[in-house]
Amino acid sequence: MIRAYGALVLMVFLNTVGQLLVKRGAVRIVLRSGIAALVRSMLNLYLLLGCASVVLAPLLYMYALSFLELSVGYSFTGLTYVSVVLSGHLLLHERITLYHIAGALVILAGLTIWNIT
Amino acid sequence: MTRSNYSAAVIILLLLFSYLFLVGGQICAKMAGSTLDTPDRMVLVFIFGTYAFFMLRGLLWIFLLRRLKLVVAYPLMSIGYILVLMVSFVLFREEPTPAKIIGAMFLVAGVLLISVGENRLAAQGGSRGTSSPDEAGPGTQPETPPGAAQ
Repeated sequence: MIRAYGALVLMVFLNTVGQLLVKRGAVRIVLRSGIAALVRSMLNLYLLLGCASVVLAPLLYMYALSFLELSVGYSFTGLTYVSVVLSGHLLLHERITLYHIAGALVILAGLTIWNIT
Repeated sequence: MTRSNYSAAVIILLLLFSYLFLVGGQICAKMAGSTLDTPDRMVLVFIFGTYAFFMLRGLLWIFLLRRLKLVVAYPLMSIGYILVLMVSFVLFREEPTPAKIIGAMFLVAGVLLISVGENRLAAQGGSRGTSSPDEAGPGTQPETPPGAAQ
């Protein structure tokens, strides 16, 4: 059971990393400068992290769902909104408003209620 | 049909398909999960289905996010929580507890608040704002929902 929740948290982490990479524009594939540049542009750490998020996150999710109900596992995707807002502010110094903070707290409250059973 | 009517129809169609892909992906993911213990060929089908639906949904949201304001798009996206909850109750016979239903309403409300915040920032200009968990992922591949599930 703990492994299932661990997988969900890792999934949220990977999805958050993917989101931050997209926002930073860190993952850009160079198309116009020949094959060598294309390959070089694809072989960076950011892109590998991005791929890990796209490939691994669903696997972790399916693994978690082998232990948990769908209605429980799916609720954890809501955590991504919170972590993206939080890490976007802390790491990328994006501006946030009181609405963001209130929304994040409401989502956390919702997840807590959802998973009290 | 005027142009704005046309695009409204297209948006509604894309939205319906995005909900369809969301529900399809979640069903496949749960089916894959529950057949992991006794692996046979069907597991591979469900795993493939999960990836396919997640990616199709990601692609659709790229289009939708270009056509809708975030303050509209986020709450529309969060309706997915209600849909997936209904699927899990009806199809997988999971117990519909009040905690789950109230929790899902909180989640929708929280997403609504964040989308209002994003709208405020967009109105002020400058900030690029927060992209959603369902927006396109790295490279050309769509991000998994919020779960992946998004």
